[in-house]
Amino acid sequence: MWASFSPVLGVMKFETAPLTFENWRRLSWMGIDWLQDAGGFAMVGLVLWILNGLRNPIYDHLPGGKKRNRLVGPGMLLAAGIALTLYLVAFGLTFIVADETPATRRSDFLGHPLSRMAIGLELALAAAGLVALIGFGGPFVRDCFRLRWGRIYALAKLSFKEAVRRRVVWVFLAILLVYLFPARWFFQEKPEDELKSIVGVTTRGMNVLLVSVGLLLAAFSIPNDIKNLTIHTIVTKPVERFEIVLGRFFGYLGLVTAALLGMTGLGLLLINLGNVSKEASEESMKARVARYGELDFVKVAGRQKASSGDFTGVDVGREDTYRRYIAGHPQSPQRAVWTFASVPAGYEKAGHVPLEFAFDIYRTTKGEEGAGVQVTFELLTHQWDPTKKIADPLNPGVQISMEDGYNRDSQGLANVKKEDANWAKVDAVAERYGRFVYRNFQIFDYHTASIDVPSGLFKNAAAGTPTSPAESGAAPRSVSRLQVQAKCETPSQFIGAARYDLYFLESEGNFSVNYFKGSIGLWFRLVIALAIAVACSTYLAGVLSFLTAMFLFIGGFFLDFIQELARGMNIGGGPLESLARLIKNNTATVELDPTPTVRALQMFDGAYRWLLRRVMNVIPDVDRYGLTDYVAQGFSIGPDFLLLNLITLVGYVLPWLVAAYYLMKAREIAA
Amino acid sequence: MAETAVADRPVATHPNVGEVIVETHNLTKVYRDFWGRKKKVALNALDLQIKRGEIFGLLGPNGSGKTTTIKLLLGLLFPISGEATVFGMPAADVRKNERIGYLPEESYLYRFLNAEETLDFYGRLFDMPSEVREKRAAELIRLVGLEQDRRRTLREYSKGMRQRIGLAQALINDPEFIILDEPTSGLDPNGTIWMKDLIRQLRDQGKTVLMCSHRLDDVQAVCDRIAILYNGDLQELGEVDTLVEDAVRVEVRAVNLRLTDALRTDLESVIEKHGGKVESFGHPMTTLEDLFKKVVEESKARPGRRWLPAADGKS
Repeated sequence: MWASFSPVLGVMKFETAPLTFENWRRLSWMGIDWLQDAGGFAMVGLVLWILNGLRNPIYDHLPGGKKRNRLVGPGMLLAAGIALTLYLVAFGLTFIVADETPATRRSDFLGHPLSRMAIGLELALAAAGLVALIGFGGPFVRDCFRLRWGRIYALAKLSFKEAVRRRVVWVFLAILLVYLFPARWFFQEKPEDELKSIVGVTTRGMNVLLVSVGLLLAAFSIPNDIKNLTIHTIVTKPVERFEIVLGRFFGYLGLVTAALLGMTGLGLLLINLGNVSKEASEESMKARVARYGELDFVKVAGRQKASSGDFTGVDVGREDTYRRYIAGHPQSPQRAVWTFASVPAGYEKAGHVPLEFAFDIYRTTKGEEGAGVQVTFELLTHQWDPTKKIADPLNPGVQISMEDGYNRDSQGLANVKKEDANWAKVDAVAERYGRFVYRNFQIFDYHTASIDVPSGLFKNAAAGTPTSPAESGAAPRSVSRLQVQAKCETPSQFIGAARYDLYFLESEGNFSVNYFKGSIGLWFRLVIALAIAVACSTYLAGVLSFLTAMFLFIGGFFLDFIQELARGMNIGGGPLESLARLIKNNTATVELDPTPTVRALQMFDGAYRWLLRRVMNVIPDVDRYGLTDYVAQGFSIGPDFLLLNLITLVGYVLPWLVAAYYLMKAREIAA
Repeated sequence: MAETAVADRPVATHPNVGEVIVETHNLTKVYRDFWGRKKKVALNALDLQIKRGEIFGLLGPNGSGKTTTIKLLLGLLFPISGEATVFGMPAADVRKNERIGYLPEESYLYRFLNAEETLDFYGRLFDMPSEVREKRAAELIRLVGLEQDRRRTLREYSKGMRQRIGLAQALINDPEFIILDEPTSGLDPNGTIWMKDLIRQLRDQGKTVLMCSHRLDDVQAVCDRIAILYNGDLQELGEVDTLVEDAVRVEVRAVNLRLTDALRTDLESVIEKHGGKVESFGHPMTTLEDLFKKVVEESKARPGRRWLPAADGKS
């Protein structure tokens, strides 16, 4: 998931959909990818450890004169053998898959169309990774049961005290205090963006300073212990080497967590005491719990929807292609349609449910000064069928079409608000027909707006099973329970919409609680930084550990670009090809002549990309944990979202800790 | 120095005195460079046994392999061949450290901690309950004479004070086997005497001490057995008294005698009658340490200046 800070609109911008438990296919793929990636590294570690253990064995002498290699057990050897066999199978399958053509039969595998051999390849790699993880991680898990939390606590407390008494932490915290002051003291901005700026500036400050201090402390701790020989007095106690690693890790984590909590609390206090403007308060001092639908762009003809595959929205030429646009006109057939497969039970009893939205306006003419663009919203349930005959509620025994009935019963009820006396009638009409229309709502750029939807509509949507009418003997198709159609009414203007630009507001959480939840994302980043730094410090010198951890962490913010480079999707080729272009003064889009030199350079770039794809897996996806964007935009961070992020965090950090375990175990402390 | 709690304890011997608790077979350590090439043979096929209840001295010039041996026993280094066991467990097994105490050559302690915090920290590493830890820490601080300075950080300590708190951390778990690397380093003469007395007391309690020192007089005074290393090889091993005994010379000490010519003549004739030859006669010398001890004790008993210059101005 990548969410960007978009101060111009009061909505979340997700380049990829946020992770949820409902998206089990995506979660399954993430699991398979993790097994393959982490398993690959585990296999490399397993092979190196076995070679080291056989070359430099440490023997336990057993009764009967036998001896046993402490470092390499039969389980490890067996796991390595099985994993190697599976990798060989996968290697063979690679060639078969490479020879496949588009005509090769494919079936759906977790949402991806793959051939049987391709499925076999994915599963073989995952299985090999799993076996390698078991072989390499087995001793780690076994030794975890020997760990004593009392000793880890003692080492953590030592680390905490050392960092506090060193005073470097206080210097960083003093600098951080500056970031807590209101942003408006430093620069001018729109009142409604004030809170977003405060949250954004504070978060960036804490990001940089807390991560820096964490990296410094963690990267130098064990190397300094080894250099100063203080570690001699620890490893000569009954302390497992890995307890030293965990002690340092938890000690510094405790310190930066305390600093983060303090800074977050102080920041929140300053926000609450800082007289945030009314506009900012309404825009962002919220914690919206939103329910999103799936977005489609359609052209309607009369009352029938045309095939959505023909129309995917208009590209107005903006560089950012996140949104697609629909043209405005009273007779425009273009619609942006959000469909909701289900509606929560609570909606039926709520009385009304706000529908919030914020669209981008693309003007082809200047239009009227100070006026917005008008949008009509039409909400339809699966039971709405304009031509269907129903019993007339006013004339028993008489049949009337739903459309005629709706038009008659909704006379004088246009754009009624929930406070109006006629709201009950609007609710009843919506429940009876499954339709609700709000005409000519005026939207403005850079503002979130809202209309209230009567609960009766949701009662109608919740009833029955949503299927389309059977056609020519075919089985009924499942359709959504509710759809929201947006139409731009203002001629010569376009409105741009993305999936997350419109949502039902399920509830409002507490801003302060959400503010703290936003800090959890920063805490996740701190965990990553500390884990990398401590793991590197078990083998590298302090400076090298710091630089390695820092580059990996910063690289996480550019992971998308690195992935493009690694997959060859960037423009201009790899580094050597780019160098050739520079020398020859060729632009990035020009195809180079396929001379032997160019081919050789491209081949080396291919090798570079292969290496980068391996290294890419080591770079953390730190952007995923940018939760404060939710806080800045006023959206609640759900517990399931936090849980999923925690799971992915553990999936990334655990291999580093296993690496630290082995590096520390193999290290001659006194060498 | 305060009277020690250790001295107040009843002297007891371990039921297994004489049992081998440290054993090395063919223990070899070679330092290699990054490419795996041999750089130095630090220890070459060392075969050694240390028995329970003895004070064992490890001697040798710089670079002889003494410290390497200690580090191999402690698991700080891994041998390239051979094996070392402590209490029957491989040297690399951390469980053996439950029964070991180690005083490094330099006091490698955390200087931002004070004495109480230091001992509390190391006590926690042995999973000692807090009451036991506090009591033990207080006892050891008293033993090493740092009660007045227990709240000062180690950064403010002198070398001798750091050495003493280093000893305290080595004894925090009441170990059975104590490794002391240059234990008297940084101590004044009183401290040295105290340290040697303490080492003997530890032995009397049935503990085993491995001592590494350049101060040969200290080693001779306290050790039961010694090993001498040179260039990684074991050159000599045995009981101190046996090794330093000069088997071809006889020394006689007598009291209530002054050396007269008549006595000298009689002694010469007896010795020559038995085939020997007199090398020297004279009154025996006491050691400088004994003189120092005597002067300090007398000064404590009678404060004030004792030595006065002679009336004629000569010393």
